[in-house]
Amino acid sequence: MKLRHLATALLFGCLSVASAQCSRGPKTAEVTLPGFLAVYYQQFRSNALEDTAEFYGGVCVTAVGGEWTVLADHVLVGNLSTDIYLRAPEPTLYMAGWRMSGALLVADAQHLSLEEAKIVGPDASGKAALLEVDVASGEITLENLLLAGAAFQVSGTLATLQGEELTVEGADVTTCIGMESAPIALESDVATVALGSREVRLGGGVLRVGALRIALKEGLTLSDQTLSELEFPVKVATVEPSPPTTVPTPGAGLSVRVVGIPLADDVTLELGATGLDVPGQLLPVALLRVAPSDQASNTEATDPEGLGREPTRANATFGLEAGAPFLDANVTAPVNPWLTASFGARSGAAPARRARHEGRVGLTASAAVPDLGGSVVGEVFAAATALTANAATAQPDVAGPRLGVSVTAKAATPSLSAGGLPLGTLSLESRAQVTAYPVVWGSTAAGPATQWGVRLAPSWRLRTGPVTAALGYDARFTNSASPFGSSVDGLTPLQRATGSLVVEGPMGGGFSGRLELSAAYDPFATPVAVAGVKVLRADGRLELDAQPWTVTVKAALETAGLVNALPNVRAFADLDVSARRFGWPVVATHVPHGSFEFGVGGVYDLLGGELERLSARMAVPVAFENLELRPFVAVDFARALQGGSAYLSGYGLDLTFITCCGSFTLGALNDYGKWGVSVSVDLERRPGGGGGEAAPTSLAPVEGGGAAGEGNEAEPGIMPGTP
Amino acid sequence: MRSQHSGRASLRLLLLLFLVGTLPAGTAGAEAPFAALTVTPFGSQVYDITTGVTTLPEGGTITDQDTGVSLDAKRIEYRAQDYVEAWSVSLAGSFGKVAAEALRIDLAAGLLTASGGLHLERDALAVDALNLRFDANTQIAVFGGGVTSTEPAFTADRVLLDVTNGDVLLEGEYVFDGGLFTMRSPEGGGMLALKLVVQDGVAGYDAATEVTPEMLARFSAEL
Repeated sequence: MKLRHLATALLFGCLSVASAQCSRGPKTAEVTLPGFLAVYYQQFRSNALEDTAEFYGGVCVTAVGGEWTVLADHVLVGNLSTDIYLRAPEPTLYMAGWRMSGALLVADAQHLSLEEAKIVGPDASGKAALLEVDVASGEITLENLLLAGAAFQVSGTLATLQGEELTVEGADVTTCIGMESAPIALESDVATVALGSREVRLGGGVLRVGALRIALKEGLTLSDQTLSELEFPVKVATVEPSPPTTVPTPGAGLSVRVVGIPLADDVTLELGATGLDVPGQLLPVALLRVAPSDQASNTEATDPEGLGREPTRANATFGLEAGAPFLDANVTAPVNPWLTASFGARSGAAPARRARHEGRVGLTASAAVPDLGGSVVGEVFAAATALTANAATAQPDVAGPRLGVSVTAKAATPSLSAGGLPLGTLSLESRAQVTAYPVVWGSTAAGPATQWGVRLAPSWRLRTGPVTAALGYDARFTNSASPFGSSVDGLTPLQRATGSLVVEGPMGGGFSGRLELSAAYDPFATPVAVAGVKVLRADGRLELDAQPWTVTVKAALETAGLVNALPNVRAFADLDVSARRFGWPVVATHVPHGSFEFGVGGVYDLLGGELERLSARMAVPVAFENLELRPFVAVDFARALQGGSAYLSGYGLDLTFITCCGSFTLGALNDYGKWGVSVSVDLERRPGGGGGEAAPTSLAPVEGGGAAGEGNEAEPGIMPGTP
Repeated sequence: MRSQHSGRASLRLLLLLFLVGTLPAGTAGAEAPFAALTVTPFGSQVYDITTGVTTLPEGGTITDQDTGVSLDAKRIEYRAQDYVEAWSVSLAGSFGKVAAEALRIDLAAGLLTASGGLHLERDALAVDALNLRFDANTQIAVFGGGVTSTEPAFTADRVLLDVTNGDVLLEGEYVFDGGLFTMRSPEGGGMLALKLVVQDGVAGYDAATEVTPEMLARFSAEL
């Protein structure tokens, strides 16, 4: 009998696998190697002539203490008297929360290998053509590894696992899970997967989109969290011209941009088009953005004494904006810890805005005033500025030098109280500035000018429990003399007192609510605003969380227009009731992710004495395997009540494509004639409802009763597949 | 009434074959049990004429002249064609050595039972048990009452031995101690078959928890 060797082989073969426990039971016999391992089996036979021993009918090999466990139907130990080895077809290994199964496990005193290994962990699953364990070092090597989590998948030609860190060579990281060839992936020579935190760190590489390959910056880190929170790099916007005009303006209308395309370290590309909905105004966008993400390395050079001096910072954007050249570059350099110099150059127009061509230098001095809980910032600048109607126009509307100086001071008290009664905080923000325009040219120029402005804004704020109260006054004095208008440094006067009281929080019984009372009063008239009550409003919201439904009632009452008849000061009552439910019962083939929603709302004009709006709306999600639709429709009946007819006041559609790379949602909504477009992605949503086959790893299956031997605290058991 | 009786008693103690693994079963079966044994008293020999029982109070030796197997006992009592009883018994032969405190042979049934300090020692097997039951017809020995073996090292509720080929079957709760490891039966008991093999002149056993149909058939009368 050479069971001594057999036990040794099992020890060698399984030293690095599995965390689970099995036990001796009514049908399960036991072999123990005291202090090391135990083998639980249904049947056993040895063959001295063939120098082999076999455990079969369900075998469990587990370390005393349960650090690892191997389950197999059959375990053969060969060469008992010489070079001992172990073979176990279709074994399952449990180790540190991972379950590994394979076609064949072969082990000797030095190595363990598992062919066609399948790996399942708490948050990821995968496979490898070959899994090898170096018994001495405990290092696990995996060939042709593919590991998928909820949000992304990692594959590689060779991977090594030490502890919880997996190093993958020839790595391919993609959100496209389960596809033969991922259309989009990050390729890197080496990727490090932190299994505990489920992070992937890439040491550079390329972004592969189809046949396109774009270089990646060094040190890119991906995780389930970052991918789930990933902001889709497509921006959709509708831009109105400013100042308003009926003349076609470059950049106006619907625009779509793909942003943040990495080209090199700290360099990204923005591509898109503007004027998609304006005939004849379709213009390209191609901007390079250079914005060093970490300039800390400069700190040592600029602040060798460690005085807290900020490093030199620079950023630039250049290229085509709405079909016209665009440049915006800025450099900020510290002169000393309290003084910073800035240099800037800009030429071009933001979408649907006038073009601005400018060179600017400035000095900013700042100092904290701890005794007053605030700071003082002073700035002087000199600039040469020209504004044109748009980027393509050479003739400036206005141009000339600007010379400015400003001082901004902020102060705040700490939280005040009297006898334990909180009294809130007081703060004051003040600013004084003077800008000189010694020479002014252009079609709208009116000669040299000087603009001055002073602002004083005291405020008080108290927050205690669910109550927040605030009072403030904003006094702005200025001669509004900037020839460049509001788009550059124009100031407008204001005299306004504001106050608000907010109570919000849970109310019990599934209810939560918020009530806000707010007011704004201009006690003095200014050249641009008359005196009077501008806001006198109450807003309330009551929400009932009665799963799966959420019912929301919102009401608003604005009465400023009733107190004084002033232009642009309204008086109305607004009431809206809506109900929303996720997981709406299946209408099509799948349970949708989008919410079912319906509601009614009305707005009554208190000044006109008429029902302004009375609408009913509904959104119904319909989901299929790869597609989800959420049409939205709203009908306004206000006119019908006044002798007219109801009309379609809103409509829209959310369209979600569910692919193996994640889901992509494109939404469009027209609400009383105003369009809105949205784009979003959910990298964790895939056909079938999830990502990789990640599943919590259970303990090795056990059954029966009785105490375990050799310190195993498991419930007694036999192997899977046994009668 | 008792009378002294000296000389040989010709009883064939075929029961000894249960320990003679080298004897073919056919040979054993061809002979009449307990037909040609030689009894040599160590001292007096008392024959009870009324019962037909012969007693050797100081013990004696019973020898199988065909096989050379001999039984030594400190006290022997027998009645021809009926039974033999012996105390403080030791057996020696090619099968190995057996010791027991008490032994009884039912000559008519071909059944041997022994108890007390029972010890069997033979090639690759050394067993201690509380009692032994051997059927000379089936050539199966059953050790019971808690069996302990030192070679190979095991304990078992019961041990069955096929004396014709040396195969052993552990039954019930057993613990097989391999030195470095310990093999335990399932809770409630099980069976472990030990099949005698000799390789390069060294005797050992192939172990199996799944008993072959042939072995099961051999031991079926005792299971």
